[in-house]
Amino acid sequence: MTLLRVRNLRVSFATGDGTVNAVNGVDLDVEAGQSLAVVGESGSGKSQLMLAVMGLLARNGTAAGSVELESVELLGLDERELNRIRSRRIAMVFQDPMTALNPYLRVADQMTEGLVLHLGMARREALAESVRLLDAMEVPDARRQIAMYPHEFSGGMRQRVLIAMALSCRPRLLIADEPTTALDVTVQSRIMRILAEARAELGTAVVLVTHDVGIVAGGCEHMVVLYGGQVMESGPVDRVFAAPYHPYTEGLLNAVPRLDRDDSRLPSIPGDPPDMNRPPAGCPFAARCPRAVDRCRHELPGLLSRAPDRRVACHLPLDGPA
Amino acid sequence: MLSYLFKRLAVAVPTLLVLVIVSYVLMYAAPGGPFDTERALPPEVMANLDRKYGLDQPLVVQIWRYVASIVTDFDFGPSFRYQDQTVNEIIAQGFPVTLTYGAWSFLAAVLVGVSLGIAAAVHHNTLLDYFAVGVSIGAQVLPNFVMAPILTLVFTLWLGWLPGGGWQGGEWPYLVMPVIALSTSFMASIARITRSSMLEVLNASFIRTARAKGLPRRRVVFRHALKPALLPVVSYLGPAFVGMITGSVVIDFFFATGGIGQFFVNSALNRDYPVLMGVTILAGGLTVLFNLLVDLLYAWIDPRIRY
Repeated sequence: MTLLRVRNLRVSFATGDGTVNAVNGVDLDVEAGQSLAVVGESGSGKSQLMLAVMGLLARNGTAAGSVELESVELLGLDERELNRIRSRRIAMVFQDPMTALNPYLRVADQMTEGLVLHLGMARREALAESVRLLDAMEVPDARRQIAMYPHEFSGGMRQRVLIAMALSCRPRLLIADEPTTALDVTVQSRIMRILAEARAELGTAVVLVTHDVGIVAGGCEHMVVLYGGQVMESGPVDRVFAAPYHPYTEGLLNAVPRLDRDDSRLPSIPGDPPDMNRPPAGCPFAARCPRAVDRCRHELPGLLSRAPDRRVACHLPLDGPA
Repeated sequence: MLSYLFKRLAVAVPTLLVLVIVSYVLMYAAPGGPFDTERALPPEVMANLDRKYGLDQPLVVQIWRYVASIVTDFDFGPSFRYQDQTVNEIIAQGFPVTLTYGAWSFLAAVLVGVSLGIAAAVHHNTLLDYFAVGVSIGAQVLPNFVMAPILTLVFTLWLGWLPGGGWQGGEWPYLVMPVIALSTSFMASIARITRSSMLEVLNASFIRTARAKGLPRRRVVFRHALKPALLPVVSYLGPAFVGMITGSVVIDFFFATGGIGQFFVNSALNRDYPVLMGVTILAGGLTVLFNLLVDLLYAWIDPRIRY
């Protein structure tokens, strides 16, 4: 069953220089219990897409289109209605664990408040549950640590606290926005493992937002590649990795260092992402695409199905003419 | 924590000593003396007066005697102008009055200012915000010496609701106008500081986390945002309180409340050295004390600050 169904989602921001379109008509499906990676460079709109789903866009941002969670439309709900869904249905973990916890409140206070509010637990009960959750996240000496302030935790430990907090009300969907970007590489793999275990145990679907193609390979079933606020390609991770259809996907995959290849010069994608103040008329990737022809610069390719479960938005996909 | 407290109090002693010396030197250097009158006194009389009050001694000796009598007898000397009154008596009489309307003004400024600031930030760019910003700008440009006559004009002369002055042991009708006049501009500053810092905090990453948890807005604002938003306000409170004590100059003048404020100016004009020194040390001591309180408050609010 489709848990999250996003259709033609558009996110724009009113700024001093006019309207910036961060997300331009994205379709996205997350099945219950699935793990989906949303991959893209900085500025591809991936974070704004997820904030729009949570109803957490900045004040000057607006979202249009449709975001359905378990067949309930989320766009247009007011803050009170959204608050009934947040934590209990969707939870989110943010990029920088150093700033995502409130430095003025003890970890215990921050962890228990959701349990008390959403699950109606007594404070003592909520505290015991929070300790149990931290134990499950392999936070050492959780019973004592929970009484401390966030600045007394390391970055990796803070991210565990945030994940434990996000999972505390057993949401159906967890959105993790670059959960490992601010962490050491050694800590990254443990956080990914913790996410995978939580998914297995709670049956929570996970949307992993990342620019790191490397962590997608190990941790996700499906992937969506975002560029210029649009979906370029989507499909099962193993099949996309084996044979990408979109030149942008191929560029991303080539930019990952590999052991089975001579990487003395790591290939990169030349050029910069498009200026979202003045989005290009055609394919947003055309300016940087080695295969681009005239048509790419004038006509926006639609996101079309090319194989079972796989879709690509390209006039000249890599597996043959469109 | 306790050792920090003692250290700070120990540092206060040399601070105040420097204040005494610098003030005394400045006062001494200013032209004129306490016994100058329009018709000059005979030189012999002047010499006698100077000898009686020790003003014939070198400056160093004068300062030494002054400090010594404070340390040994807590004696701040006699007033040169008000006969039969010591500085201690003058302060004991006026300071409670000033402290009373000062404390009420402080309380009013903090409560109204903080509430207004929070309301404006939470309802950013709405009519309420514009109203709050308008009020605080309006209040800012109305210093106490403008507020005081306006209040008297309206509430005493036109409406006849409140007495135009006096103290009567601090009964509330005598308290209302001094408190409003004294607190208004501080209230405006506090509202402005609260609003801008609350706006900044509400954009913080941890506030987004709190909202993502589905906490109601009231809880996000008061439980998660208030403490950090108050830090800049707290650092303003020390100077603000002292500003209210010294601001009593105007209050005592307009409302005849009989506080310590009148002496700040009069003692300087009269070259009433001991009184001038006394009120200077009082203001200095309060500044030191309130800066210490603010620092302790800081540590209490922000767990990352430990002494």
